[in-house]
Amino acid sequence: MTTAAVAAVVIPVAPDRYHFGPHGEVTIFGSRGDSDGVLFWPPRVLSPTTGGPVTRVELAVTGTIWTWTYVYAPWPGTVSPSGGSGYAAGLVDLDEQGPRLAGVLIGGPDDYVIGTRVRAVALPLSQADEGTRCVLAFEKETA
Amino acid sequence: MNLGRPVYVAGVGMSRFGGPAQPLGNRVLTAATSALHDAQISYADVQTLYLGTVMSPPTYGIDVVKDLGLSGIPVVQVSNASATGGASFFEAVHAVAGGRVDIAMTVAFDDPVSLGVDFNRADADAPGGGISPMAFFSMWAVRRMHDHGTTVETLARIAAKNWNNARDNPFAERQSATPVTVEQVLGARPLSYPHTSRMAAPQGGGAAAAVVGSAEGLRRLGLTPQVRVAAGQAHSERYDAGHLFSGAIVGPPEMAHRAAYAAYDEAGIGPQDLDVIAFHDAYAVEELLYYEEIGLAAPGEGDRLVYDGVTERGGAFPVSTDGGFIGRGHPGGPTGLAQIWELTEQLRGRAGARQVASPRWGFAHIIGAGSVCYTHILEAV
Repeated sequence: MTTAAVAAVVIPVAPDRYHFGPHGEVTIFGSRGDSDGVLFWPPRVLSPTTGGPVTRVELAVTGTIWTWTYVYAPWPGTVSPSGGSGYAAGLVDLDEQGPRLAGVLIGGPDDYVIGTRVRAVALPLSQADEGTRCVLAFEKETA
Repeated sequence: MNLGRPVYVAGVGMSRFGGPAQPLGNRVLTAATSALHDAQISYADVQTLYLGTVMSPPTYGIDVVKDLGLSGIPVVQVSNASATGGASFFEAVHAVAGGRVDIAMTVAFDDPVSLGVDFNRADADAPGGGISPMAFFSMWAVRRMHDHGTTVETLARIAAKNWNNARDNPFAERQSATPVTVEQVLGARPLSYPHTSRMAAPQGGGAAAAVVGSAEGLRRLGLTPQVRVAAGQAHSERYDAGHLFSGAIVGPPEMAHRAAYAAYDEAGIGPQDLDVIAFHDAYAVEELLYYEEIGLAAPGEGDRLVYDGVTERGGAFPVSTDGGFIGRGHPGGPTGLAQIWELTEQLRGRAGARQVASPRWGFAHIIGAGSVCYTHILEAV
């Protein structure tokens, strides 16, 4: 279900926003405002808070659930993130004063509450000739 | 942003939202000719036309409205996500307020069903990760339940109210033959926790239209002003901690607060003066949050309005009297004009079984993708 379980060649669906390494490493790209230090996801051309320049940075890949839901509709990928017919989704506040972002959560309808610790993973979406296309998702952080 | 000179709603028209399948063009012309008939003018009297659509092809509207008459006037198509109808009304009002024309018309339309559009379907190939709008609004609800102890029953009560208001609206998509109970709403098909299918807007096709004019324009056509546009506000997001920059619904509900209070300032009233209210209630939690954002209740106390019946038709602040998005429907483009239709009917005392007692001030709020927000205040004159 996560990176370790899919083909060795993992293709990010949005390569400007995240990258997956061959051994399960996840990199989330963002921007930091040069003048005020505010972090943004996805990467920006200019800072939405100042209009000034930004620097491309790698964001934390762990965070905390700010809110969540469970959607009772099929996830349009080859692998069900819940193991069932629906999927969980959440807004995640990334660590290190990182931005909030939306993502699919690996697990079922009772697996998450506000405050649950999570880490970023690759969720297989579809198979391409070059490898497995994956989207950015989150799963419960293990101790 | 204030109106430069008084603007009045001269006429409104709708085709029924949803209902039997029919060509979208028929809906467009039904709404447009109804508004012209309501205003007691002909299309030749219209000096500029704003079309509104979210999902129709770029030249669809200009093609359809040729049947109103090739009069050579400026025709502009407006698109601003779910707020499109609010946006096209705003543009028509400001074309008059700014003095460019004396009579302006707007017609908005969409038919998600015929185009196979499903806003609740995840699109995982989207760069933002494909989380659907209903998931975003449901996440608002889960956070609300966490912060203020709101229960699912509160959301069900809001939805049941709107379903039952729609029973008296002949243009509503949902027209239940029998009263809808809170238990039926709770027991409906789960969509996205905590929302069920009866807590969410249906998205059949539809069209709606409005004609607005200056005092001079109305006088020249022999019309008596009945409804004044007291305020029209257009706002977009401001940055705050936790701001989302990617997703179907990114903006915070705070935008509603800002747009509402700017409209109050423009109209010279406060929230306590509102007599009939229309919200962007695509999901039940939205209506609850907007009660507080526009000042009908203090933060965290909106639930009380629901249990005390304050937002029922007979309450102090009647909300979604035509059924709102949940009952009347939300095709996309025309939804904001359906709000104007309902407020105008209410303020003229023509809302039939939906009529609230002697309303003077009507308020409409609509958002687009959580990133833009329009508010309008109408006054009976």
